[in-house]
Amino acid sequence: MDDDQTATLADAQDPATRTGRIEQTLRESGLLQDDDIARRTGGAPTAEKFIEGRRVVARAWVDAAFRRRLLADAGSAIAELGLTVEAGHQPGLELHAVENTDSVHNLIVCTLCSCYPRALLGAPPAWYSSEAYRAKAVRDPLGVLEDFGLQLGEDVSIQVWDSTAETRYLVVPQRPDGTQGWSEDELSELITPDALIGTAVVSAPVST
Amino acid sequence: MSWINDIGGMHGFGPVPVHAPSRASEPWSARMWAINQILIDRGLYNFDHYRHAIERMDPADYLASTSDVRRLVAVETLQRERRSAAVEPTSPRAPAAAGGMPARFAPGSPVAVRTDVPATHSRTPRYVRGRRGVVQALRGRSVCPEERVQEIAEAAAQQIYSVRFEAAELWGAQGLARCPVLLDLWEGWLEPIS
Repeated sequence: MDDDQTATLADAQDPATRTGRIEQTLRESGLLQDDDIARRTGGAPTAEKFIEGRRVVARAWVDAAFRRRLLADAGSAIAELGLTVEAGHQPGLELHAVENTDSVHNLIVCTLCSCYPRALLGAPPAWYSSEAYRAKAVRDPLGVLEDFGLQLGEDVSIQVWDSTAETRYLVVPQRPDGTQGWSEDELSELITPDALIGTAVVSAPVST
Repeated sequence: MSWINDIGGMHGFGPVPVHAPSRASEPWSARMWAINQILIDRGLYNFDHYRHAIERMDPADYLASTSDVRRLVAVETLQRERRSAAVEPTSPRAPAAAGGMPARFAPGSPVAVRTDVPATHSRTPRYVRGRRGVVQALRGRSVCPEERVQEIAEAAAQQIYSVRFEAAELWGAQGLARCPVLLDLWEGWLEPIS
């Protein structure tokens, strides 16, 4: 193994300047070519991705057969909607959907970094990557839900999934009451990133 | 034992910052994200090297950095260390038909996690080492991260398992029966319990 040359924060200069320096070194060595970066920056996780990705849950709410397929083989099911969890530079990612029920609530975390189904849902909420969440979720999930103002019945268990390997997890929240007859698009708009991680449930606005 | 990123279960970080704003990505950060992708695709290093370069940061630097800066430091580190090295673009997922040892455990198998202390990158968190759990399901198969980061040429794919741990097993008297933890662990980390 090469000797450890771990860079430090103390290594001079602001991030933009350091990025420029790295880029220049890589161009000089031929590892980076002219339009490489321009072609790739469009692939970064975006908010738009979430709007597409959450359709998976809306579809599962209205289509019981799709829901069964999603829970049995999430990767194949989301492919029906033209979606994927796979990322080019990180081979081997798979998706597993876990459903919330009256007796089981699911909470997703990555204690070791901030693994998240980015190719499907875009970038995670800022709190998800925080040390506070990564440290607390496995040890005190009830405390985490308290931080979010979410209270569950005492007979509800909370399964905490730590994304340690190649599988990425998607919570399928319970469909909210009062949404009978709603379209997939209308249902989709109710779904938040927090609900697909497990720190929120989905509710329908009370009609006036 | 493990690296600064391995913080599952730690106290001291306070309540979850529920309302932390998502910062718009600055141009240098978007470029660095793309550069990292390109360098992995071109074989200067693999994704495990990238993760481990972050883990190897000075602990104080790690905790003081945003994820964007951690990525910058990782790429800077790897670009210095691996100027000319090249990694075979690996397909770490071995298809089931490719052989290898059959899965050692089945759903329902009680298992104990080894207490090894790898000097390399690992995806077995400290809080679960030496702990006893039950296999819930089989996940996929791939070369384990310890071997991927060392680029061991003959490394064989291992079965990955979803393993459930009761909270009391992990946290003692502070663990609640209604809050089990499930992790995905490579077979090499698991021992049978008779």
